[in-house]
Amino acid sequence: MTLGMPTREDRIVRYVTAFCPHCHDAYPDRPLEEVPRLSGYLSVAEDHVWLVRGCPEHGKVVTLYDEDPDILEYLEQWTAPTKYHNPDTAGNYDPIPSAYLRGLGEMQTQHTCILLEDVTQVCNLRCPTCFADSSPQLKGVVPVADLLANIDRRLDREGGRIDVLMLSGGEPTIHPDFLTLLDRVTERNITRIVVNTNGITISRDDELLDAFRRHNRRVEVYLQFDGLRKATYLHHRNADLRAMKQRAVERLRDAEVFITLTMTASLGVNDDEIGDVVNYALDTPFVGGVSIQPQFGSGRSGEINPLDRLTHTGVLSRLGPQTDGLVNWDDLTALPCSHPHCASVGYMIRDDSGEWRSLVSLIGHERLKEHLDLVANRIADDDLPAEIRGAVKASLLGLLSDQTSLTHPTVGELIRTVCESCDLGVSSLLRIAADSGRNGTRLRDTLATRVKRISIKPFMDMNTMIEERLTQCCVHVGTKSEADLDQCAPFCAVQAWPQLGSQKLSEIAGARVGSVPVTLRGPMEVTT
Amino acid sequence: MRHEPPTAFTRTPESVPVEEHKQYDPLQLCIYTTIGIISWLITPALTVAIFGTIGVLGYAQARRRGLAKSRCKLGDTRLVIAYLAIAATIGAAATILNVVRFLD
Repeated sequence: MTLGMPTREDRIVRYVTAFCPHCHDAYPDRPLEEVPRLSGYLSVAEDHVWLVRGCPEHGKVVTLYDEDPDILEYLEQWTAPTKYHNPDTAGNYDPIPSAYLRGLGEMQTQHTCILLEDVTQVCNLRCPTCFADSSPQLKGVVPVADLLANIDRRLDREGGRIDVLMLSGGEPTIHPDFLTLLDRVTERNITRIVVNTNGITISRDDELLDAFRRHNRRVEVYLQFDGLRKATYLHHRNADLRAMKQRAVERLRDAEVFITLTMTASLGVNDDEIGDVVNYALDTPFVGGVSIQPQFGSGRSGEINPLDRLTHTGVLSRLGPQTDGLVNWDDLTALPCSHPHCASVGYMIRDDSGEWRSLVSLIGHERLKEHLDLVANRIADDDLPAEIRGAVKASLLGLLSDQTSLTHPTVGELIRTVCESCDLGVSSLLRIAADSGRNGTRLRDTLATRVKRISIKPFMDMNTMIEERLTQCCVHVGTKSEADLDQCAPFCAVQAWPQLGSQKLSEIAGARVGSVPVTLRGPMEVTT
Repeated sequence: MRHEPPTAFTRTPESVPVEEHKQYDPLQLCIYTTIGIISWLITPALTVAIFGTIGVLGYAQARRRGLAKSRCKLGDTRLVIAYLAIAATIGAAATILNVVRFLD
């Protein structure tokens, strides 16, 4: 016997560049050029995945990255080629995060799937947890002309078309010119417009609802919907908003506007309500799906324990037990176009017998991978002709992208191609899709009740931030450079670093707000 | 609620005793010879029945503990168990036949 070094107790799964949360907390306004980029790794220990980085000042800093290493490994199988982008500043090879002060740099590896515009800082709620730090006391309202200039610049950079425009805030629907904005953006070559809202204005404002009804082919509402319990709303929103949410859902449903429920989920608060929200979505017509977002620590956030928090894989692992096995984690896949840790998505389809089945279970994991060309294709040519294989691959990539939801004009066609070519036996759905013709009313009705999209979107804060996810990010926030040029930057970076946050159009509007009074739409007080 | 990272990241590693570089030990050849002697002494059929039965029990336990794939050429542990069970049955049957013949 002799002496030597022991084997590590942890298992390193990926080497990463990360940032120090302690340095960030101590000096959040540090010039971005001086933000230390730290060597680190993701490592499995005690059945969790940990982000470990070495900080010259604070030593080894360890935070929880994800709760389930097996599910994370499963997600990493789903990656597809990204799309080219046009950098906002040619020759911008600055390191992250300072590169984003001049918009998307040369080293970004994904185009803009979703352009998010904060149209106002002002909100009719003051939620204890708000990554955007919005409140009724703030004044920043972005003029429509400024918003359109930023959107038009992005249209230029994206070759003339934006897949998804997300209007956010603050509460975007209280913007004094919101209806004009909605009319202007729907005139542009934007496939789909999504409005992030708490639903208060929708629940009472008939003029706003009429505008949504008028644009219901292209406009979809992302309705904040954290659960079904009073305590959940008191924690996240400081008010019992359940009756108002129900009213908003009913009014939107009657106006045939597709809704995605966006749930902010926190450990020990409403992580046990994930299944209830999914079931509510499955049961409610025109609720096209659910987007579950584990609470993250940017902006005004309640205390999050960096060693014990709800994560992407934590949400996935809770799906099965909380829906009695109706929706399981392997009914979802990672979004193939995005970084596999950044989002997962799955479709539930109600078959002719009334049972919900996932698209993944209908097709099968291995077959889905083969169709996406993620594994060597073992399907014989006589089994599925090459042109149909191509169509199926394009359809599946389309479905499994951040751009798609049920209001996307081609989603019916995508589902039809996928289902038909793979012979999935959801015959009446296919028949309706095939018969839907140009106006697609029957198809919309069918999608409203028989297809639901479930997605998990874990945003990063400084405890989970890794550079490669920023580089591959495709959710970009409209910003303006010091030189007053319209540009954009990754969502998580903008929320985490105040210097980037101050470049948001709403922040700029807030900083220059002066003597001109602004009349907002709807009352500011919350009554429920 | 957790307040400390896993000890895997906080423990200072200490040097531990490690085995020195192993000399080549042709142990398996010794095992094969011993099995040959046993089967010579107690008849091949009984040897197959005994080792087949031990193999079935061993693989069944390993499968319960999660071994789905064996290094055996058959791969799937279910196939290995089936092979061993058939071998054990044939061995047992042949042994009984031998005993009957011997008594006759």
